[in-house]
Amino acid sequence: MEENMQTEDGISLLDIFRLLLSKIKILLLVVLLGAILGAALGVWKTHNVDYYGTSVEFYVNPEKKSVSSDNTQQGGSQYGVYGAYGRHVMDNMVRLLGSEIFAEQLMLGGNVLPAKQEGNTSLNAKIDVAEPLLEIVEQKQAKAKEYSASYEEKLSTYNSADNRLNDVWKTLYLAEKVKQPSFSEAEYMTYVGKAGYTNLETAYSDKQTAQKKLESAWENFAVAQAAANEAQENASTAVEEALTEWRNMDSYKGLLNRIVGSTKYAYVQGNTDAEDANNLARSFIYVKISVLNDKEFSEDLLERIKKIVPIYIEANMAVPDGYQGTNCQPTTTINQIVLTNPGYTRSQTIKYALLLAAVTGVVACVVVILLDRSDKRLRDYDVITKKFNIPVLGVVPAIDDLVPETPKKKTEKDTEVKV
Amino acid sequence: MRLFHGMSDKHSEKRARRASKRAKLHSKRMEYLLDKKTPFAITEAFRNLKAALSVSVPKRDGGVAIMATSAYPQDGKTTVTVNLALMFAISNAKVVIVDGDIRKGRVAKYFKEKNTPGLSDYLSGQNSLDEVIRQTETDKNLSYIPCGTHSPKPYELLESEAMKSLIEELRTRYDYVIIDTPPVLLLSDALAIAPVIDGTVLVCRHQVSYISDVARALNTLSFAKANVLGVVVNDFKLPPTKSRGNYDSYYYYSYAYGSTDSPAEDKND
Repeated sequence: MEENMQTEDGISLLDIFRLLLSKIKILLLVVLLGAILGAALGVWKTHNVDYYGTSVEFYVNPEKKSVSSDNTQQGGSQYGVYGAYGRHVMDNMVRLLGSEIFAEQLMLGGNVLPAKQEGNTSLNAKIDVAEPLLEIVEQKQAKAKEYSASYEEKLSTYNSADNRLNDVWKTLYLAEKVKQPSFSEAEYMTYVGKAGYTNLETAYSDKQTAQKKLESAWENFAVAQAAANEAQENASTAVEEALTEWRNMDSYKGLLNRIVGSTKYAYVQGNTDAEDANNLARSFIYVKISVLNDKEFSEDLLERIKKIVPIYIEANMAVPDGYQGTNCQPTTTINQIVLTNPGYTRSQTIKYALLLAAVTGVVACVVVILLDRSDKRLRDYDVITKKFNIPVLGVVPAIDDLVPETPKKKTEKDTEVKV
Repeated sequence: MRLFHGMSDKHSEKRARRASKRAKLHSKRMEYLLDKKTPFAITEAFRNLKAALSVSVPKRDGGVAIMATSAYPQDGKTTVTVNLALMFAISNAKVVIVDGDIRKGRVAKYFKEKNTPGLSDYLSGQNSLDEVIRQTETDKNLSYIPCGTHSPKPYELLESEAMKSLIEELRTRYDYVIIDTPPVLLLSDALAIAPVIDGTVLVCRHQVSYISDVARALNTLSFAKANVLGVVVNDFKLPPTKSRGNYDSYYYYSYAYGSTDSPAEDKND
């Protein structure tokens, strides 16, 4: 019996163990309930959680300027010396790709204007305004490009005429040299002849004509370019207004966050000392797509990423001195969106069940211990002697706790008291 | 002055009601009279209680009067009283149980008889002593006086000279006069008897009675100049690691050592 006694001041581990053992059925029940609750929570939270995604790999390298014009003609990236980008450059690019700026580019899908939205008349009206302006810009730029080509052609003609004039003039100059001091006029005329003068006059005339045409072509080009620039300015304002309207839409922010949350970018830096493309020189940027419960969206996102990322990287990657640009290409041509979390519900259900079972078990143990410690009912009869200095005359066990006699048939003897 | 503190304390009343409600669930099983089927541990516990009381009660001429009370109802004081008396009777002492709980006496129920006529009828002069004393069939040495007809003034009856005379008379007839009284923190009836008896036993129930209630009950009794002999812890719940096995082994050990038939038959030894 003394083992049952415990002081009010302290409680030993053995006491706690016995206490918990005495409540083992309740504790097990609580743990079981916790596990069931956890499993239910796990199923509820993860039964409709399917992640669709894939990984896309792009190689990125700077193209060095070729030494000779021949090399340039044959393709600088093929003959230039390859060297990987530094870590900070790759860091910056990956950070930029992960930003909302690039996410917006993905949303635009390479277009200047967003797609029209059903029900948003204001945005659609602004797009309607901007679209013709952009068409005008295109037309003007095409015209300017046409005039530019014409100017280039006229410049070439002018240069040819100038060269011919110089050649003729050189001939005349030589003839002048030949004349003096020993050559006579007759000899000079004989040497140059009337044809010489005629050639000179013709060359001079050709040059004058080419120059006039060149000046005319330049004027045309300048006018066309100015018109293109003006159209560009007009279009820019309209485009910016449309974009601002688009950015104020609720769906814009939601889609932007969804794209940012569904894509992750990383890189592997190549060997900066490598001298050729096949010797670990290339750096790689990895894009991981993971979209929740929307396979179509993930497929669309994949297509946009494959299209936009190389353009964006080539346009925005810092090019070091001595390099002419950046070359970025996906390393794989086939990327399939797949379910990336098969068996997720089961594993999460088990995890939640175990977690909640453990938590409820611990909480139940703590509650049992706290309740036991806060229970001021008579549990240890030794307290009576200690507190009140009164003897405990007897302790009568609970009859329920004791083993009942083996059931026997009732006889008359049973009614008699025989103790 | 904390004599009747418990009686006016609303908190205590609430606690009493709560304890009563809780205890009622087990009250049926708590009401038992020792017999052949009673587990050995319980029989042995009452035997030990009897032995402890035997040495605790001051020696005097005539019978010894002992009162059993508790802090609140349902602590099992009637069960303890009846079985303690039975244990004294088994050891060839002449014992009488007086059901002093005139409001809610239960002693007669243990012997499957009616409460009337009883103590209140005798104290009010309606019946003679011999009419209210009943011999039990359980043991020839054991008699009892039931509580009697319900009275509107039980305290006055218990405080009366007739009660004192009754106790004195019973002392001459019996070796032990054991009085079952109402809870001391709810009713003052027990305090009326306390000064004229030899000792008081406070019954409390394991894991049900509050230590603070035990303290208040003891204070109340000592203020009433009761000679508190000690405390009996009733309905003691054995811890899971110790239940059954040890008692069973003791039981069978005793059974084999003391008797060839049954442990209950050692009464005749």
